[in-house]
Amino acid sequence: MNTALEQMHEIEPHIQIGRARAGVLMLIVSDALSVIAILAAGGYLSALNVLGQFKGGDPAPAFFPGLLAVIVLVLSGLAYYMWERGVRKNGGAGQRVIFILSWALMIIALAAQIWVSVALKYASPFHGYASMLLLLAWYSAFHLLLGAIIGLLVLGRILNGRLAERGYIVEVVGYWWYYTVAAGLIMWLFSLVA
Amino acid sequence: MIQVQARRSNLLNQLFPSVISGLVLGVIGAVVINIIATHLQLADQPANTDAIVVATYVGWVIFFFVGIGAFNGVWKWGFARRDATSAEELAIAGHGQGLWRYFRYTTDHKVVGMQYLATTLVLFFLGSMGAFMIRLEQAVPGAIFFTPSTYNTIVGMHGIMMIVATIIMVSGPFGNFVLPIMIGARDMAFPRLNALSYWLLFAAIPVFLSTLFIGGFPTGWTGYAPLSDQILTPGMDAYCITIILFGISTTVAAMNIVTTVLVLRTKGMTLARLPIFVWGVVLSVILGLTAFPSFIVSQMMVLGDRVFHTSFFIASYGGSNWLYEHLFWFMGHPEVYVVALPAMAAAAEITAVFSRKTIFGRRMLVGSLITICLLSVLVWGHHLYTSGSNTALDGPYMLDTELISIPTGFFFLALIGTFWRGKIWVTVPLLFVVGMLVNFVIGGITGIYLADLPTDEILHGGMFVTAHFHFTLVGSMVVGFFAAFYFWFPKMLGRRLNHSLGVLHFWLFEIGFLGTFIALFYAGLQGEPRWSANVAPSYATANLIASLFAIVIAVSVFTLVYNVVTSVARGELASADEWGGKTLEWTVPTPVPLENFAELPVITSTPYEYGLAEPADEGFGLDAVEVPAQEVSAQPQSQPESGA
Repeated sequence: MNTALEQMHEIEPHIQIGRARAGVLMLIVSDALSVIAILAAGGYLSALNVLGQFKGGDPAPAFFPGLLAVIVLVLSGLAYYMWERGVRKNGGAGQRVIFILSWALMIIALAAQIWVSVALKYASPFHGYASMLLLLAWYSAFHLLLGAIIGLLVLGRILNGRLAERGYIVEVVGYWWYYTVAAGLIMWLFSLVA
Repeated sequence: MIQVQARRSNLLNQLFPSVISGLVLGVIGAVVINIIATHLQLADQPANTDAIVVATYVGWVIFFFVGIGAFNGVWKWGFARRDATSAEELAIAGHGQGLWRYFRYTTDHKVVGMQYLATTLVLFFLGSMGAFMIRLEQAVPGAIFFTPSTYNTIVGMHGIMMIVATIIMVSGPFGNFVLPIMIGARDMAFPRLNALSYWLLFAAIPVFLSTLFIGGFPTGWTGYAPLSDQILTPGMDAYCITIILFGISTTVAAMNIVTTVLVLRTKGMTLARLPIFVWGVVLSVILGLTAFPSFIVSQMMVLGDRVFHTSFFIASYGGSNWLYEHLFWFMGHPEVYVVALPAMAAAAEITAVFSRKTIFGRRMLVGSLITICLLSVLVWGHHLYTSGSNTALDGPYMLDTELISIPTGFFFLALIGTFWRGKIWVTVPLLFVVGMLVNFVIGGITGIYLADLPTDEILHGGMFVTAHFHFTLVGSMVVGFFAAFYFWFPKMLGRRLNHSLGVLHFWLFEIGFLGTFIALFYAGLQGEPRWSANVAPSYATANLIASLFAIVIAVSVFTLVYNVVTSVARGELASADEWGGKTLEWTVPTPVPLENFAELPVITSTPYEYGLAEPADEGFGLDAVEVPAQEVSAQPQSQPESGA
């Protein structure tokens, strides 16, 4: 985002890029720590198994719906990577359709994740295990929602022809995009082994 | 007619977006969401009050941010056909808006710094009034004014308000106002995120204060689960939302400050030449960035338990109270150093200026701050010594906690070494630094007894702990904040604080503080428990003494308030380099221009080269001192637009 500074005292491009990279990387670190906190909490409760009630007889979540959501998410990450590579090769211009595909896959993954979360039919009040799975499922959905919103904003810039002027946006949005994929994958894997 | 229309249009432009439109829309949004959430409740099931309350608060926050214009920049970033013009960007930075810029989503770092300063002072004032009510209630045995539940809510509100205030007290006002200038930057790396971090804090305050009207939160400031799960009043929901908002605000601010220092340092401002204050703030926010996610997650889980009937902390369903304690204290102990590091660094900065010497062992001091930062994330388990959890890690936690005293000792060494053979200029900021050192020694040494498991078994949960952490957080760090406040006030507000009132404030505060908390140390050693609304007769004398000295603290607070109000109203104008400091903030005019520097300086030395400097006034005068600033190759020139 621009500031008065950039208008009146042009910040050198390498500083703009460094600023964007540092900001997004720190956002990722901060969010990754919250994911780690949730995973650590789940592992801790699983290990403690207080009064033998952690699982409380609740079954594991269905495997295939989660797998489907994760596959769509990974495909979204791959599509973004292809688009990013294209942008890099063509000096700031990539094929819009590949980005739109990546964004659409992110939205499909979001819809699938919401479906997976809603389909967790555990009885209330939830035991520790079900509580953890619900938190992971909805936290993952929240991540995908953020990804979809960011994708929408990037799409807006593409359609208005304002992406080429700040090509580094493609790179730093990519950081978050890949992180979203990785975090979704890790949370799904954790839900399988918890 | 045209004039009337123009005036009306101007008024509308001023009000929308601003804090006024934010408040109006926030309240409307909260009411609408409340009505919708109430109607969505299933008729055949009991009403889920917690869900309605949480939805209402979320509505308040989202619509407040719509109203204040926080999403405008995001929308334009994605969908505008062009970048903002220079004039538009200047308007967002507060150009030409006078005092009204403090009530808008303004991006100028100096405005945000002033907003943080005002908020910190208000929180301190409210929090200290809470403390005063606590001491009044505890002055004599038996209930005087409050029911135990009300007393607990007051203790909890005092605790959270003061913890929030101490976390932001240095990094918020001075980290925003002074730090970018110190590194030779024109603004923060992400000016809009800077505004966002402040307004998130602002949005959390009404949520927090509303707890008073919806049952309070009798858990105390720690919000321990499963008690917080079981409390039926929606005040607990407000507590959780407050913490989540504050956690996000702090995280956003931390990202911004670290990025700013990483990428916006001016030419020649190498890491080796960074002022010590910048180091302190950066390390503090990195620690916050590490610690706060677990706190946010803990409150999400409490809300889950309360609203959706999950069982993260309910043992009969496989949850555990220890989980909360781990998540909470993983934030809770580093949080002490989040508070401490910038205050310690500010004290070092001030000591160098008023001793007219370079900081003794500057690299050692930076190393010790980094070591404190690293060690502090590994000590949280000492808060669980007596919780009944597995004892296998007690030894390592004890060792690690005590190790922190070594780098902390280097801090004392650095400051005393700086005083040694310095040309000491006794000013109000320096008095507070000395007070900080005295109190920190007492707070630190008493902490060793709580870090050691055998003594902690006896002292935990008692007034000794209360006195210890007040010596650390208030006696050391808040006093450090006062030092920074008196030091940078002339630069930030362009006025001089009254020196005599400042000295009076110092002595009243120091005497009142020592009297209050030494008495509470005694009560704690006698065995008085912390969480008790009524004082038992055997601890009556110590508590009466503490309460009487608390009156002295209250008088000191009013002295400060009087000093600030009269100085802002009719104080002498401050000069650009009020103390003869050599860091970059003293090289720019007062008030500081919107863009700080006409030309960005190029740094060729560290900011503590006082070899040739002489204080102009050895006494208590406040005349500006002519000292060459940190060597720069391009001297900034004044600009007409005021930024502060």
